[in-house]
Amino acid sequence: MIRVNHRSGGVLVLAVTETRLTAAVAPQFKQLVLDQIEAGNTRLVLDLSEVGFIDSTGLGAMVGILKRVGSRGDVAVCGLQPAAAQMFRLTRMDKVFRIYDDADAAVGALEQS
Amino acid sequence: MHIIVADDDLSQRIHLSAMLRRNGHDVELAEDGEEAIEALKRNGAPVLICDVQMPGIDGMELATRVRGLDLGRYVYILMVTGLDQNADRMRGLEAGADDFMSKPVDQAVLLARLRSAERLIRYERDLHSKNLRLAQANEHIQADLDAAAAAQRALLPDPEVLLSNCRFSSSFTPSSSISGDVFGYFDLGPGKSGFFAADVSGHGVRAALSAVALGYMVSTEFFQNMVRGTGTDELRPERVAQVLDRRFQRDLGDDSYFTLFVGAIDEAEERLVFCQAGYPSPLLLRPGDEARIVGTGGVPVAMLPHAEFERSSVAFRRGDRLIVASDGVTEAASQGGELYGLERFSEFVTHRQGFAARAVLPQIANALLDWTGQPNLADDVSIIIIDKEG
Repeated sequence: MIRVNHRSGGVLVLAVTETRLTAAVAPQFKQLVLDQIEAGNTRLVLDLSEVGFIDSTGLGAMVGILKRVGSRGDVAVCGLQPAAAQMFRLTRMDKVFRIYDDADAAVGALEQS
Repeated sequence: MHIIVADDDLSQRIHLSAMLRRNGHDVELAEDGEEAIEALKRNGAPVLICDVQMPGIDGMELATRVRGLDLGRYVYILMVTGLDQNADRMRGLEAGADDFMSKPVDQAVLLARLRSAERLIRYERDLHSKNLRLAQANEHIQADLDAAAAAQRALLPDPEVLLSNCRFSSSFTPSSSISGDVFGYFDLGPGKSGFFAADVSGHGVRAALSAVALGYMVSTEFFQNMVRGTGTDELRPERVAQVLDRRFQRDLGDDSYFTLFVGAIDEAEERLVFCQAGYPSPLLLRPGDEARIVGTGGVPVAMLPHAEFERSSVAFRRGDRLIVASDGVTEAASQGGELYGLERFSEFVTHRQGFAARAVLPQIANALLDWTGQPNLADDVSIIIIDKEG
């Protein structure tokens, strides 16, 4: 479901290891990320480079994660594939999330903020 | 317990029945296989004790036949073998026997075998009654869902309506009996009409309940008041999104939101004014041209606090066709996981430019089923086609 990778500056990279982030897996995905937030990890990079498709429930889970972190930390998204990028543009979530090409770029940006 | 004893040997029958009756069992005697089968059909006996060797239908054949009967209950078969032979037991197990005893039958062994039969029978009866209760509960749920589906369909407009010079045609294909999709179209006075389409995130009962609440809220009166307002000719579709956003911000709960498209057509101005709140971009088909995408997106309703909803517009003239489709169209996935996509959909409708909307709508549904290779769609599909005729 997710692969956790601790990076410098206290940034956590969470790579989603599903090809489809949909209603079937979204609740479990969200819970795993919330567990990390509750454990004090509030600087998160969600790496979606393996995710080919996100449905409305998957997007809802991502926004739920963003809301939960709130002002306590930072959430960045990286590795958006075409269909996922299109979903983010259509719903203007490309303006709400900080989006980077890859995990390194996202980690670099979060380290400095 | 009620027990049938099938044995061709009279002394053996008497010996067994005496033993069983002494220990409080009801016994019915059968001289051969045929009689045993008749007895099983006639009464509710849960246990059959049969000898392997009988003229006519032997014990093996009897066990096979009993297993083939539809008695509505399990019959525990205890087979009495003449010789303690493994081969007999193997054949007996295959024929459907549950347990074996060898002659001469010892009372202690028999009673022990029957106690284990009783346990199994009780367990089987429990399971049977639980299954019945589950089947009944399932029937109730399905009936409730069907009623909910009927209520939901009653909210949707007629499949074809002419408002001023705009013909609205629609189709609704829910993925299960209930759906998170809702839409409508409304008269906004002479030369003006409007429509909305919404898709609640997620599936199932929860999404459907929200969709029904949304459908009831967006009445003709509500839509007219929001979009037309008073004392102005301006059409304000974004007001629908704003008011619904405030209304549903708290109520949907747990990451739920909905995407929305609201459009209003001013025939004199030859314009479509719209607000797109995360709903897929509609396609605009002009005579002799390829379909083009309308709108660049927007924040969904009830997703974020303090969202702003924008108004845009595009020319909409005589002969133009607008196709508004829920994401169930573009997100329909093939067996290999490839999405149907906007490009394919755009090509499909471009090739059917001159066709009546009521002919195109079922063709789209069929194309999606062909694409997915499934008997039913995985997501709800709602489509509105608006043709500017005059």
